[in-house]
Amino acid sequence: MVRDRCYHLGSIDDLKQIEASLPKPLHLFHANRSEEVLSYWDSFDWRLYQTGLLLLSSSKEIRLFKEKDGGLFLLTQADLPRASPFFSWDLKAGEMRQSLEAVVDARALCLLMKVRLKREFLQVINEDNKTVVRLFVDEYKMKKNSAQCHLLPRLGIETLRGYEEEAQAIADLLISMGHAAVQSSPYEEALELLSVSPKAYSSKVKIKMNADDSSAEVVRALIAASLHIIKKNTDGILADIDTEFLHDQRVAIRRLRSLIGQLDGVFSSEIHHRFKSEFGELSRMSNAVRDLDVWLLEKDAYRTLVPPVLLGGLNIFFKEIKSRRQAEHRRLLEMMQRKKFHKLLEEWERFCQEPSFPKGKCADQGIRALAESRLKKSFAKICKEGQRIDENTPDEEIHRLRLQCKKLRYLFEFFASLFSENHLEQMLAQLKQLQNHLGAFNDLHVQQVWLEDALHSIKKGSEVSAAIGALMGAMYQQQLSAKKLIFGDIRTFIGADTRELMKKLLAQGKK
Amino acid sequence: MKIIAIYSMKGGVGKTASAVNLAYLAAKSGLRTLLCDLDAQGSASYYFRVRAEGKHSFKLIWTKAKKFRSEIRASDYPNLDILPSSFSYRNLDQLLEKRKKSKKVLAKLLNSIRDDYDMVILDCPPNLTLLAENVFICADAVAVPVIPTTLSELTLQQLVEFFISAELDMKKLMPFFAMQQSAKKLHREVREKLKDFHPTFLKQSIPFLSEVEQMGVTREPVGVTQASSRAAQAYSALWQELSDRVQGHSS
Repeated sequence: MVRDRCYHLGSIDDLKQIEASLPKPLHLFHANRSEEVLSYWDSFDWRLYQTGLLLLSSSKEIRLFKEKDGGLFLLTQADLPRASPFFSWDLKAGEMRQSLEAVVDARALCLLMKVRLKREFLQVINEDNKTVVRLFVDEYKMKKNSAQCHLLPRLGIETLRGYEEEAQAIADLLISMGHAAVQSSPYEEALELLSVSPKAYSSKVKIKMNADDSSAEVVRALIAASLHIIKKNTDGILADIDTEFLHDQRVAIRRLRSLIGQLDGVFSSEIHHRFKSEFGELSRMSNAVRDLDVWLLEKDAYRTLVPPVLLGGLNIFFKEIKSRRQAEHRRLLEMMQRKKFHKLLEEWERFCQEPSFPKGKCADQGIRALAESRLKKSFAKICKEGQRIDENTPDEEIHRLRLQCKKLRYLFEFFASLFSENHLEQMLAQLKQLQNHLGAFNDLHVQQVWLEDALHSIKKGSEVSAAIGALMGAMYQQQLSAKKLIFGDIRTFIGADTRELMKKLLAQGKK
Repeated sequence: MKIIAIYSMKGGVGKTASAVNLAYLAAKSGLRTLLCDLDAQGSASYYFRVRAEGKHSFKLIWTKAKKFRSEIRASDYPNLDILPSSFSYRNLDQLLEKRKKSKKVLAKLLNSIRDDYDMVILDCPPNLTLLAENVFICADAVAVPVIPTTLSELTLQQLVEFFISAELDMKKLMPFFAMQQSAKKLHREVREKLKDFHPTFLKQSIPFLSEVEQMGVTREPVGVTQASSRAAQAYSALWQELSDRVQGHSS
């Protein structure tokens, strides 16, 4: 309802004029005031913001709001956890925990800003001394670089049942006096004032390109964007805020490596060679930490796979993993704080900016033509390998198929803007199903190998070895199931429908 | 949604004061509450400073559910809305007589707001009419304030006989003593006599208290201006007993 909006005031003094302008016989009554310091929370990648949600805390409570037209609607509240940053699992089981878990998953919720809210409640009274409209005036103050700054005060109208006309009259009065209805929540305004932009970070590279753009220029732009993601996540990794900083960074590296690997001929072979070696090393640097992170993230799920009598042994195993993880993380920090690491990133940044650089034979080719040829090649490989897959296919071949699918997917993602959105969406949906099962299969394989390895260093017959054995057994069964699903998926994927779709997707004339 | 009517065949027994205080307590306990002022005198509406819409004839309000709903006004208290009456309500019976299913008009209207409220309190006019029958039929409880005097005994008996002849559910009838003055011997005697008279006679009662009279001046429920007074406590206890009875009944 238009009535129940907030309106910006030029200053708090505007209230006097509004009071004086109230249509007779209405008058204003100043009721109580309140003051609170509110903290605003979100994950590093602004997941709550992206979902239209707001998480605010006062001294003891956190409250989750849905934002709409600048107004906030309370969804749920809970006790504020002690930790800062905190995770959804730091909350007691309940609606808040469930809601946050669904949106932020393994990401930490970080304190992004503190705001002081002064609120005054007002009542519009009629000649019978009846309250006909409820108002409130909010003043928000924040600190920016140790200086105080504030938002424009907001006047909110609350319509009372049966007095809709009076509320509308107040709204009309405000508009006639030049006060505009707010468009965004006060927190959005505050973020803007503090120059903190939710749009500044995305874990995905999304660059718009035209079919005729020179391939080399486009790829340089993609490298630059990827480097940006790598750099942005570094601080979070160093501070060890949550596991996803490293994950996002690794994914950016992985995607970029796949791209440069598949687009050979864009730069000179020396450049491609240097890239492969340097980014390969960059990627391997964090393998150990990520492997251990994944174990720890999944530990609750693994506990359910093992008979309760063996849980003791499993817990010991996880304790061991935890301390190994901390040790590996320390090593990673050391490496990331070295000059070598920073120099590497700087050099490649410079490569992307330099007016001239060592080109390859495809450098000046239109990007659309190049992308098409690589996509065709990648897809053909999948079809060829996919046809050979059956129950007797060794695991290694299935892993190769998985890697092939990833390559295809990354190409689609980088070059999305060159193709029809509709067709691309369909293609990616098909790929996703297959990739999910391939991924699960691979994870299980990797974990079993890992466990087998662990077994060697553990006393035979100990409770830990028994727990590991049970876990391996459960995983083996899951792997067999995943394999069956993969057969179905691959049949569908290399079928006539997908080939048709691929043809349509790559057809000339689109964009 | 439950419906509690505050009804008496006699005037001046503290009916409206009870309706106002009980509605306030219902709202305070978290129930979305509507107080319907069915009395043309409009005392309940006066307490809450709410007026009926001047333009519309009460006819529309009582025939169209949408108009009925649009007459509802928020009170100054959370969870409590008021449906005000107007002087034109003195002709309500005539209107009801003309309708088909003339005894179920109120039930139908209240049914249209079933999803909006948890509790409806009806402040009824002091007469035994078609409107009263509408009230008796749709209410889950008919709370009757009774001043413990001999004449009140007779009036209560008349009401009981009416219920029997109209084949109404006697379990709904919940009299309670109001404006009670324990110092008066007559009050004590009548009270002693009547308390076992009817199985659903409420145990809690409202003494004669000046705070209740003061309501006409302050125009607020006693729970607001004098939260720790005897009057506030008495109504609290009465509300507790009444709401327990009503929630206990399944209907």
